[in-house]
Amino acid sequence: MAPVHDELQRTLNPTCTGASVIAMQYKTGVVVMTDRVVSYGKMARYKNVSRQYKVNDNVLVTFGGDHADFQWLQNVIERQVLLWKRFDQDIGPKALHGYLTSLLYARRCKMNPLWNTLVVAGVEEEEKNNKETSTPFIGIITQKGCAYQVKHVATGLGAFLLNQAVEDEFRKKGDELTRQEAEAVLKKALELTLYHDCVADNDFEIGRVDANEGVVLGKEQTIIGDWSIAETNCQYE
Amino acid sequence: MSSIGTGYDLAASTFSPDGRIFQVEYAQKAVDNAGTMIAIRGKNGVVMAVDKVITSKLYTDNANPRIFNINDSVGMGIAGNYPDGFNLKNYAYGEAMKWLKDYREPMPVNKVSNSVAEYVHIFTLGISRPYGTSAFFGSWNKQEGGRLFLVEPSGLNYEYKAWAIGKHRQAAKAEIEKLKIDTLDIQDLVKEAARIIISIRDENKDKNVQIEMGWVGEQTNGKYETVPEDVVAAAEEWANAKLDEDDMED
Repeated sequence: MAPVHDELQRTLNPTCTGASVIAMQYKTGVVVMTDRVVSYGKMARYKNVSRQYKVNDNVLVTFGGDHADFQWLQNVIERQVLLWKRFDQDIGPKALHGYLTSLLYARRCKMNPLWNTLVVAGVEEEEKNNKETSTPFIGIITQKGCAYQVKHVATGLGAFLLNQAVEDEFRKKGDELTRQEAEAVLKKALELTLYHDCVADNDFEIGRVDANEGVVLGKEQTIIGDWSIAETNCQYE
Repeated sequence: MSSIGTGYDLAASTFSPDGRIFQVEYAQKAVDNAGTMIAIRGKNGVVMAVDKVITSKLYTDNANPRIFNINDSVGMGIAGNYPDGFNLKNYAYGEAMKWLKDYREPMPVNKVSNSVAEYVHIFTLGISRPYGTSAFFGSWNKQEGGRLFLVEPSGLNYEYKAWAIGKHRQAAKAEIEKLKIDTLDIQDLVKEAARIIISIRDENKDKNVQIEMGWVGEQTNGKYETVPEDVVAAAEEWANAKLDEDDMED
């Protein structure tokens, strides 16, 4: 048998990538924001591409990282949904989060990780009917299969830049944030990534999963931001 | 039966001198004796209806369903030997799953029925015995409209405008032919299907039966669904009234 060059069979670099995902709970649901650019290295290669995938009426999966890997994951999720339907069930956010955690962890144990950070957002069907106990779900899975649940999150470069800022805003209102307030925080956060992350884009979308409305995919939006600060950057002329 | 004692019915791999395969014909009998099942392609959709025989009162409601989804748009209805049909459903399901993996799109109805037919055929000859089940496959979409297929125990796979299998299939087909099915939408088809099923029942023999239906069409957005119980109940009510009315006229 020919010698196996194991290292050559692995994805050692992502190619076409997406940047940060920022998500936040509000009173009756979750809002998730992603920009709409696909980067090829540092180049903004494709515009107007969504990074949000509607699984069903209760679950929205959003990703940062490699687009090709996620397109494959979409198919995996689609098949999982079909499998659940065989038993007359619709997959919920917690179950899908668990499934994807196992998948990403198994792949990293094979030294062949999926190059994605996933954000699974949604509401459980049972909880939809009981507004009192209803808690919207946000679950994160890193590339290495490290998974956790949060009330608000920023991934990618946003994990370094934004988590504190988002948390501060969230804590001001506790769990009583309205959707508008949450979206305002997300937009402010996007503005910050735009200033600091060279692959972030100013075209974005905000999707949401609401206990009353289910999954609502967002429309394309744009912000300009305040570039007068560029003057103070001494690296510029 | 001409086949008995001749020795030509002992294996599915043996033809009789006049070119028949008796084992396959016996399997077909399992379908012919089952509760009547009809399927009709209408103006903007396909409806399947089956007269399900409830063999015990101790079963839970809607135990052993005969109508299934293969994927969101393709539906399946089985008649004949129940475990055989159930297994065929699982096979079709696996095929749809493979298709979704390979092509990243839902498996079309003609591909499902074709693949099931091929499997039924090879199972008879190369693996073990004939399937004692017939299976309808239906779907609807804007581009090609409604489509309806039937796979038989022989592995035969034809596309139909409408068809009936099971106990009272001849009477059912005669009734379907009287309808202008091209003008009926799925709401009408549900009613007419209920009427046909009820009208061809043998009142002395067909007791403990229940109608189960499946539909797909423009109104369901191309999604195949088991028809909700209350809709079936309403259709049966309409059908009974209609049949009473017809009796009065006679």
